[in-house]
Amino acid sequence: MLALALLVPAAASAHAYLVHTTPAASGVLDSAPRQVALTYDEAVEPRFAIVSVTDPSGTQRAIGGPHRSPANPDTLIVPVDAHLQEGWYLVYWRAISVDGHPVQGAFTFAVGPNPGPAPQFPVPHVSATAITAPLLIARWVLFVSVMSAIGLLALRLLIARTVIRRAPGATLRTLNRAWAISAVVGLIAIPVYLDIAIANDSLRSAFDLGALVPLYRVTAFGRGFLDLLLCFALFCLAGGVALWVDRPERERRSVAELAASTGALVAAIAVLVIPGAVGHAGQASPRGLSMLFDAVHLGAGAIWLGGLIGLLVLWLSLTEHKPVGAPSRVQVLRVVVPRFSNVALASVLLLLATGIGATVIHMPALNALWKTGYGVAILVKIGLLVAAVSLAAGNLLRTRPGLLAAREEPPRAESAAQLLRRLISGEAAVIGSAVFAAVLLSSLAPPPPSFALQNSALAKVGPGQVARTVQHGAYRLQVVVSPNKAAAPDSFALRITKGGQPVRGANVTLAFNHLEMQMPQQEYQLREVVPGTYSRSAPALVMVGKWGLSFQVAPPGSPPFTALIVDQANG
Amino acid sequence: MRRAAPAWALLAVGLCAIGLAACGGGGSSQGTVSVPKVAAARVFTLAGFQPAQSIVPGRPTPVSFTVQLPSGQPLTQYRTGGGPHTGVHLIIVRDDLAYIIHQHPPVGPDGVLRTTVRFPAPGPYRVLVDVYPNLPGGQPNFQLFRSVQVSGAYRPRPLPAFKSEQTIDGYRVAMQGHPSLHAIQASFVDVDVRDPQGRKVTLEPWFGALAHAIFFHQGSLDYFHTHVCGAGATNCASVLGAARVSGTSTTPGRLTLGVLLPVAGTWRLFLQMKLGGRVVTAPYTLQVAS
Repeated sequence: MLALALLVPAAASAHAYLVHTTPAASGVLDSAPRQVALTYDEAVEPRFAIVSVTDPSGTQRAIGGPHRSPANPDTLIVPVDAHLQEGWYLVYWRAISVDGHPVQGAFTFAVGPNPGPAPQFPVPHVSATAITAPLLIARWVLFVSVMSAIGLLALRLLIARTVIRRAPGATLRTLNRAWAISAVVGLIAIPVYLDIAIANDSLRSAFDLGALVPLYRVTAFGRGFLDLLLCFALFCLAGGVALWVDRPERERRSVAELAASTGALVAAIAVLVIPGAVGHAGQASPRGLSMLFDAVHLGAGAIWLGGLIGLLVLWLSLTEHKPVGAPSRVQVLRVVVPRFSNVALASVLLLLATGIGATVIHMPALNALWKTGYGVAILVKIGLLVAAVSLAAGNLLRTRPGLLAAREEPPRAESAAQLLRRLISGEAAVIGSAVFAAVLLSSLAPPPPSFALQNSALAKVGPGQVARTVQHGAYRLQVVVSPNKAAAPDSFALRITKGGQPVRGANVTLAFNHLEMQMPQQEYQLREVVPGTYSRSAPALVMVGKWGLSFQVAPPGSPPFTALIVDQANG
Repeated sequence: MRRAAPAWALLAVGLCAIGLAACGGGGSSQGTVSVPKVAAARVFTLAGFQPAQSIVPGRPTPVSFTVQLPSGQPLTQYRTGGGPHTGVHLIIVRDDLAYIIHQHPPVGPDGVLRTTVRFPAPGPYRVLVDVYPNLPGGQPNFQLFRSVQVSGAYRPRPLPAFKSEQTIDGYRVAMQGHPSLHAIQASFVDVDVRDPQGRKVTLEPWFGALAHAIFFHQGSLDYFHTHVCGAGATNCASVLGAARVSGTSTTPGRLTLGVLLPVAGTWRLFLQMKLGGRVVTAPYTLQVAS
């Protein structure tokens, strides 16, 4: 299965990006266009997209919303006012990638032949985040309920089942009930989360179901969560049947129960794989390994979290003293806790191993751990897991021997049971928080591989106009970026001197990498405008954020070198 | 302790309620995707333009203005050096393209440009300021426009047909053949210039070029401008999109003129050169096919 998973091809890029525009960015047309066409690297959904075309006064000149080009499914077309006068126009666009993430950008074009000077357009910015509070809460409820349901079923069918035979008179009805509650919450939380997420991305109200429901299946993200809902429903069905037909008083399971349990297992595996497939794990490279880590990580977390909740439910449903015809709390716990402890230990080890593996895959550099929101969320999650592991160690070292010694020292067992309750409540709460950190983590985009570029930067500049002199070996480099605004044509200039003399006739290329989001690299050739000064105007800073500007310089007769500047561009 | 299960049920219902409540706050209030409001851009303007009121024909009229940057500051940094693409070209045409005035006012230290213009006849005029700023990364040049009215009765004149040979102030200007022109395609046109004695003239540089070819589109008054330079001249080419064009004159009396027009239609070419210490303008009507 591992080998099979590794064969899944890697996705090319995380987010949709603009490949081509008509009119061309910063271009001057000789006559007014009838439409603006934006071609992406994937088929973005027009019903989620915004394409605005405004003149310098801010008047909207696009007529109606964008639609898909009949000739090319990757192209969005928006018709514009037929009577655009000579002058400059701003195109602002926002689209939802097939992976569900919003992307946006802007460019200008002019209607000529004499458009006049390019104005300074203010570029709008629609919040492009997937981390609003309602979304995070809904996602957290979804993951906690789904994981608990899987873990509770595993605890009930595999670990706690023997209690019936080993502690006569015990009942597992409360575990069944807890499982049913988490299943129902999960079945509600998945569609609610999907609806909120789609509403957030398409800038609509979550209650606008007439508009939102048709959009559910439009993105890979939406399809993924519908699949998740279906698989989870199948899991609930199969799990329900397995519990229905289970006769725990018999040691051997019936064929019907085995069949239903297998069905529940298969559905649970599907449920565990889907979030990774539609999330960032499905876009990292190597993709198969990353998805495997994600699914195993989620599964181990589910066994741990669901098991703890199950133990807590059991603890609360039992009484200290033996009622007539029923076993005492200690009698039940001394059966379940040692068995669960072994499973929990294995889960924790898997959780740590897969978590570390995924971190290694997603982190382009070590300092991305504390320099990006994604990295900080990982650190918080690691901290919470370490706290949970120390509580688990307390269970393993103190309560387990105490419970096992119940027959010889009943008081010791009772105090161990009290300690157990406190420890597992704490553990469950800490794991619940770790799930929240994971929810936050999976809502953030991992830093792109170009993040590592930051560590070799000669200087960090911006926001605002840049004029910075740096030294690179014998060369003195003056970097000018003006006005250093995102989504507008900026001018980039590099003056190269060596020993006070301008370096002439060099071949200078400037490469742009966004350091916070995965995007294709852009490269421009700079032209020598004055001896030793190489310059170019380009709409290269397509988004707000940190950019790596790599000046690749090949001076005549000297070895080439690269000077990297990290530039913060604001809107 | 049997009450524990209802407690769990309550917690679960609470979580659902949080989810549903969150759902209410999730979206915006309107039902459709809203296009964000875009604020007005900051633009270049022709500020403090004088004369502000009606102009008397035939009288020297002081003209002054400032090119104002989007920041509100006056533009004081203009491109300098050799070649024609420097400073400011002030070009004024009457709307019927019967008259042209072409000057190069000096830039004052405060960015104010001042000159004196004599408007020859009544009617509406288009004032075109072709600016060559020295701004990092901006466009190499751009135009700002203004319309002015010269008082009196306006009698528009139809454009004369193409005439290859013309005599202006005694100089004979002859275009070789009837050029076949297409929009956005650069082409070259040879023009011979002889003095009143019939000798081939040697052109004197005027404002960085041996000759200036100024084109206006009839009706829309779209504008383009190319230059004729001597051998080895720099900063002479005019740029239109990806195309660059410049003219040359390497033998006395013969100009090779670069023509590059953005749109089809009827264009008026004003070919200007300095002959015998004076600027001579030879106008041509050209048809440009698409």
